[in-house]
Amino acid sequence: MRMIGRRALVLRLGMAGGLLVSLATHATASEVTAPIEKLYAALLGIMKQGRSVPFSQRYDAVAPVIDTVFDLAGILQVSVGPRWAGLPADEQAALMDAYRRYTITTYVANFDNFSGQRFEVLPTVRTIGRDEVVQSRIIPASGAARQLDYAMRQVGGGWRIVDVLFDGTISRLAVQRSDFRAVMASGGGAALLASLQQKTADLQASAQ
Amino acid sequence: MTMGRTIGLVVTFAQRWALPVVVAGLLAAMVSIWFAAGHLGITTDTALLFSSDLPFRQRAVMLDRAFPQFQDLLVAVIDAQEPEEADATAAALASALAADTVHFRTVRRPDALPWLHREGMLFLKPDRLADVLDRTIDAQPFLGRLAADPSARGLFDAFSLLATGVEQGGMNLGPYQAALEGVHRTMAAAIAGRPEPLSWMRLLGGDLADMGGRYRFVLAQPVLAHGQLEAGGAATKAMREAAAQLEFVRSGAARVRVTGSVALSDEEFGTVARGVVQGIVISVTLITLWLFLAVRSWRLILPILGTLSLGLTLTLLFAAIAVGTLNVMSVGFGILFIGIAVDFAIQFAVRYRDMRHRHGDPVLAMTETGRAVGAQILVAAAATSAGFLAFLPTDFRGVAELGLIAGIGMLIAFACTIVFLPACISLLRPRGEPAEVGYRWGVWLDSAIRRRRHPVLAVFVLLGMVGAVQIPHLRFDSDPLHTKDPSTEAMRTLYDLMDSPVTNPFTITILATNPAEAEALAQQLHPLSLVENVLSINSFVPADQRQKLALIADAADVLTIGLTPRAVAASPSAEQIRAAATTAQADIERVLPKRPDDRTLAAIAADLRALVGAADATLLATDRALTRFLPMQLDQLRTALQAEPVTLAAIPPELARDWLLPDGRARVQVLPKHEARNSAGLAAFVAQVAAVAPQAGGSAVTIEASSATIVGAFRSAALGALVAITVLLGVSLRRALDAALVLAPLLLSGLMTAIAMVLMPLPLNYANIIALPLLLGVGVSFNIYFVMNWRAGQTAVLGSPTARAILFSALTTGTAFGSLALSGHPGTASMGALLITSLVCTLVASLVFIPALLACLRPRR
Repeated sequence: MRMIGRRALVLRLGMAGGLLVSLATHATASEVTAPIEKLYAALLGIMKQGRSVPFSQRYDAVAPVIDTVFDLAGILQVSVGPRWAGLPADEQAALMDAYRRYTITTYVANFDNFSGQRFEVLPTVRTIGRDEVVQSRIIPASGAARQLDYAMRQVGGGWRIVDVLFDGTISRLAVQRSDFRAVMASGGGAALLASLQQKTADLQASAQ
Repeated sequence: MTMGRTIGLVVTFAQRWALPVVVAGLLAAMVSIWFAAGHLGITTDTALLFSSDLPFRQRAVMLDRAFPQFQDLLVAVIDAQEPEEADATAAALASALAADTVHFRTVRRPDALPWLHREGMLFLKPDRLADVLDRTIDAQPFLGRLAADPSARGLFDAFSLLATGVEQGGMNLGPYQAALEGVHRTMAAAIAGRPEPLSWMRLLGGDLADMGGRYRFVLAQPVLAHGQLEAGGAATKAMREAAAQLEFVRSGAARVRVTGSVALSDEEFGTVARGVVQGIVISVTLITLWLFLAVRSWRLILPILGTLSLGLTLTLLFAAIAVGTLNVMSVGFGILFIGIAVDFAIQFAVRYRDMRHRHGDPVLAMTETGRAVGAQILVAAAATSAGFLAFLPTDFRGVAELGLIAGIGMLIAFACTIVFLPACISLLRPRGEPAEVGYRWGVWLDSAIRRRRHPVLAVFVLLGMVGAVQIPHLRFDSDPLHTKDPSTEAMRTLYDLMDSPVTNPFTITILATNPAEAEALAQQLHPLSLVENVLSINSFVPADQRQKLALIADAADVLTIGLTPRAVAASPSAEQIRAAATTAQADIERVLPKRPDDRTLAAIAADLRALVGAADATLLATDRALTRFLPMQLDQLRTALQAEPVTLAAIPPELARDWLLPDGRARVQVLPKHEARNSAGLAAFVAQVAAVAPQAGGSAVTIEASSATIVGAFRSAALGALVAITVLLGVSLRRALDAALVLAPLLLSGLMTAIAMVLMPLPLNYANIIALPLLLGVGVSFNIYFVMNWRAGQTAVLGSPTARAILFSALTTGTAFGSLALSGHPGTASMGALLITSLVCTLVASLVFIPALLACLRPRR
């Protein structure tokens, strides 16, 4: 018994060691992909909850994940562009808050029902400059898979999403930049704030 | 006069030993031709026309030596419907020429360095740059999709995604309107069977694509064949052949034209040379006609033509010995010789006929002719020669050499007239002259003028005064381009280039000690009213770099990942394109009801519908038209987003070589405004810049300085000729009144010419200004004959054989010069026109003014 136990222990340790070793070699890649996994886990959670659970509850469930996983401040600054530095501090804070609400509301509203979708994150990452690009797919129960790439950057000690590329090619950051520029051209920061708040309200209303 | 008697003896000698003289003449002619053919060259280098001591020449030589890459250029100017087509054509032409080392020494494309592609955006103004970057970001969805699949399939997939975005998220299509328009136009054209490539540069950059101008340049230094009239002819031909092979030239989308200093010189000489052969043929024919009318017998015409030919060949011999190389101006001595030297022979022959009429014996007649006419012809020849030799001490070497050759040529012509001509005539034994040689109507005219001599004189004095008043109004057109044939391709291209300040070839070049001084100079020059722009090596270090680099880095943050796809899809088949078009059409048509006012979207839906039903070939043609230039533009965009700070040290050597010398001196180029295009404006421009930088050189300075040199040279030549002729007349006539009688009509004809020039109008320019001193040489001989006749006691002026001779002399001279006026080359034609005008005025003065004047004076003896 003791001999089998010792061998089993050695085997287990070996396996654990091997696992540790394999974990170590893929450490960088999984460090980068971990936030995406976390995001998808949270999204799956609220999808399975669906419309039966109140909006605000789902919102509170997914908000902390999105806060950690996305570099919202960075994304907002790049989306507003060079004008950001010229905005007054209180407007910047208000925009930050509104944008956060808007992003989380978008996710809650769009991922509100589960019908057998699968999220797949591919382990290999591409390096472009100082960013790592993670490839992932959303595979519905029936129909073609949709590709979603995430650009990850080291921000504040961890890897965070700085851009989402639909189909691997269309940059949400660029689209947002275009939109925000058009809005701010006529009314500046205040107009953008109003627009974000309006869109958030509309999404929330349609997702109740 | 002993002179007369001496010449009479010479003539008699020539007559007696006719056959040996003629044979000797023929031998001399053959030897001259042989020697000249071996030793006489032509140089087409117009720079050598000016003395190298002149300061502007020295500066030009220094600049040439410092920047040899700008010498002797053939410039291919390429323009096309789309900027990418022009770029592609220029690149293809450059590589084709670089491979042809037989015809081309160096080939450059200074406007297409890869460095410029990378740093290009830094040269935009910040707000312009921001606009371009914004528009590129707006186009990111398209570009991202296209980077991964640069084909029509990729584009249609992007349409589907756009439609989805509108449907689900209410996406704003505003930023994409221009791009969608462009795509729709290309698709519609391709479907209609006229595929044209889509210009992504224009789509993405808008009018940025035209910022550097619509032309692309390939600069080549050809291998020149210096002995030939068109030194760059072979290279130009090779360039045109290479251009004709290029894809977009064949399809008609692009056009390649050739200009540059080599092409301009070659075409000019080609034009001049074409005219010369025609001119000579016409001249010889007409001259023979006039000769026939003057002397009426082949036995006199042949000797005259023979004397002319001998004189010409001997003058060629002299030119070969004394000068060795003819230049653009001195090559014109031939026309001058034919026009003027034939006068001596005509005068001799016509007077000989008169002597035959008076004394029947040919030997006696000949001797008398020599005695009577010889001295007159000598004085005429000497005066004309003095007029030409007055060109010698000028800085305008081109015309100084012409003066030397023509001056000595006149004396050679005289010698041939009194030695060879009598010998020929006596060999051919012309028949006697039964009738008077002078014209009957000439006698009638004589008495008419005599009766009205006072009014006639008054009219001429009035004309003279009007002429004197007109002289300050004479225009000098110092624009050298107006003397060239504007219809040649090199000239037309040049005019097109001159319209844009970027490519205006009349610029000023200054060498500063270092780039810092160049910058200081530029600051001083910018505010001048005629200065459009000042370029130096500092122009390639953009301003506000920090701000712009920040903008570019910010845009790069947004764009780079989207533009760097994981994998690039392979080219699609027609079926795949059709499938993508079908999907896109369905997606867009679903969205159309939401956007009823969007005509572009509806048009694209229609295009897609047509495409789905089209043949495979059409689908592939559409694919090619839509995305031909896309990969190149995406590459350039990716490169431009990696812009790095620019310092003087970072500028690549191929570019720096044009602006910075190894010893640190920096070139400053000053571009003139559009107002400075004409001669007055250019002079003002040069004056403005020279006030700030006296050591300025470059094409504008050279043009102004050469024009000043030329005008100065001709002014001193005219004055010198006048003085020389006056002195000669004083010495040979020895009576002040007689000299004055010769000079007065000369000056009068000059004033009348001035009136004619203002009335016609006929502006003076580089080419025809030579006519003014020539006028002196032409006119003086007619007056000399009349005055010397009058001294000898002859009262009939117009009825005399001299008048007949003068009439036909003028006709032959007029024919020779007139052939110039018919030339296709504007410079030569204006020279011919001015010469004829002044000839007519001279003739009027000689045939009307002199008789009236002489009639007022007491007859001699």
